[in-house]
Amino acid sequence: MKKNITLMDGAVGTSLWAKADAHGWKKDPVWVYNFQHPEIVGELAQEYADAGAKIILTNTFGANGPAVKRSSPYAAPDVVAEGVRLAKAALKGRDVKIALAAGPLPQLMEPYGDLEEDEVAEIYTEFLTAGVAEGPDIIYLQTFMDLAMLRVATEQAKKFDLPVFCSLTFEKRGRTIMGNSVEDAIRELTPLGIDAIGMNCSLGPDLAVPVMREFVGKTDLPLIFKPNAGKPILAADGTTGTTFDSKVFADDVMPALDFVDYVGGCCGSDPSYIRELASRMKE
Amino acid sequence: MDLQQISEQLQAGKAKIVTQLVQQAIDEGIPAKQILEEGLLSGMSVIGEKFKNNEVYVPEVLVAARAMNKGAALLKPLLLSEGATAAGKVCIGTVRGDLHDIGKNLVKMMLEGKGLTVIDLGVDVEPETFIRTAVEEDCQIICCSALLTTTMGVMEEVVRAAKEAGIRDKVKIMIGGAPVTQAFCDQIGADAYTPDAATASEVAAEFCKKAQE
Repeated sequence: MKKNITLMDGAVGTSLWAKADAHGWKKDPVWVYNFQHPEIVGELAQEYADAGAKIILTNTFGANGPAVKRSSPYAAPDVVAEGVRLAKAALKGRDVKIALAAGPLPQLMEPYGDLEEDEVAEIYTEFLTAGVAEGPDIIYLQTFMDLAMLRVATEQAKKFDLPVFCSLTFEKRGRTIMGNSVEDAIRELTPLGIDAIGMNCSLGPDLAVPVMREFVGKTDLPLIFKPNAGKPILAADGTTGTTFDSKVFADDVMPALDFVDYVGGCCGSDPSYIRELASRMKE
Repeated sequence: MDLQQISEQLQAGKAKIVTQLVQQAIDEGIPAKQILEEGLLSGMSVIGEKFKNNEVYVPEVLVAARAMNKGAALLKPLLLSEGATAAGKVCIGTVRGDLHDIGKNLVKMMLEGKGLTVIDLGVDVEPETFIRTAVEEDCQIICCSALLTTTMGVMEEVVRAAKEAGIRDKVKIMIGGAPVTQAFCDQIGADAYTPDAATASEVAAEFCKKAQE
């Protein structure tokens, strides 16, 4: 196992939905909870810190301007700022870093879609300005499927004086749905001065490790690995779950611990997954 | 003229050349239906297969579909006057609460690539809208897309609404999207789950063919 691996948190979205479900609340876009149910947002951050995570993501992933405007009465900058404030308040005095999490926009950029580059840059500038003002430690751009969009977001992120982490979502063959490869990502993002690179979401660890391995030897940047718990399944009672459990997840992640620098989980993983990883890393 | 040329240029995403070749084929007196099937649709089918096998990605599908649409626009009035009937009619949308449309748009293109008429309801579509459209437009198939585990449940509402509207035996309901599985499809009583856009179009074409028999 590599030395000095930093443990990150697990999923924010699916974990908050699980909590909302347990309370019988409506499953809204999770960033709405920053205002409507802030207690579960803070609680989850604490649970991840208790499990051993040293980097905790803010509940801001999908809170970009157009999405917030479309499905809530709130303003995106307020939602993002509140997400950072909630994490900071919940983790006050603890030895953890807070990462401002930003995801991709759900539409495609030109020439394949209607989003113009300037428009995308503006949306991320608004998002990041609001989030950074609240004092996070890291900017984490994650789950990007289009390297062109990630490049625009990264350029905006680099205007702030914070480390910038980038991770993409790759399919089994090591390409994003837009066809970007691991090499493409390294080549395009490294000159922008990012601080870590890797993959998150999309695949469970069994299928993700081979893709993650493609980074090895091609970059000196620290590597981030945050795979899903596994493909989500819907149980007969209507609840969402995964085909994996925390032990299988940790077993499958283990081979990656020989070469990654940051490890955590994505969709479907919860604090128990991170606790399991923490105990394996101690061994 | 060899219609295979149209297919090849379409696969390369050369919209302008495809348009020229389609016009040339029309001028040579080749029936519009034949140009459509052996030129445009056969090219899209190759792209679909390659996409399924991860040999090409979203951008290649998009440019090929654009080329197909350019060529199909020239053929449309001729197909009408030839009295050719569409292979079938489908309405498609991303379900309520879900704004993701990349996957839905891919399926739409692949369906059109099978010669089906597609009514695109967009994103955030209420179950009632699927049902109303299917009735009013006489669709053989409703296609529902969802990317979120929290919105896929709406697909069950679509199935239920179709039953309540009394059209369940007239319309096939197809579902897809990252979190959707065959088990989920069985559980909610939809007709088909397909793991990718190309397979979706094949299954849809098959359903329409059976409906016309």
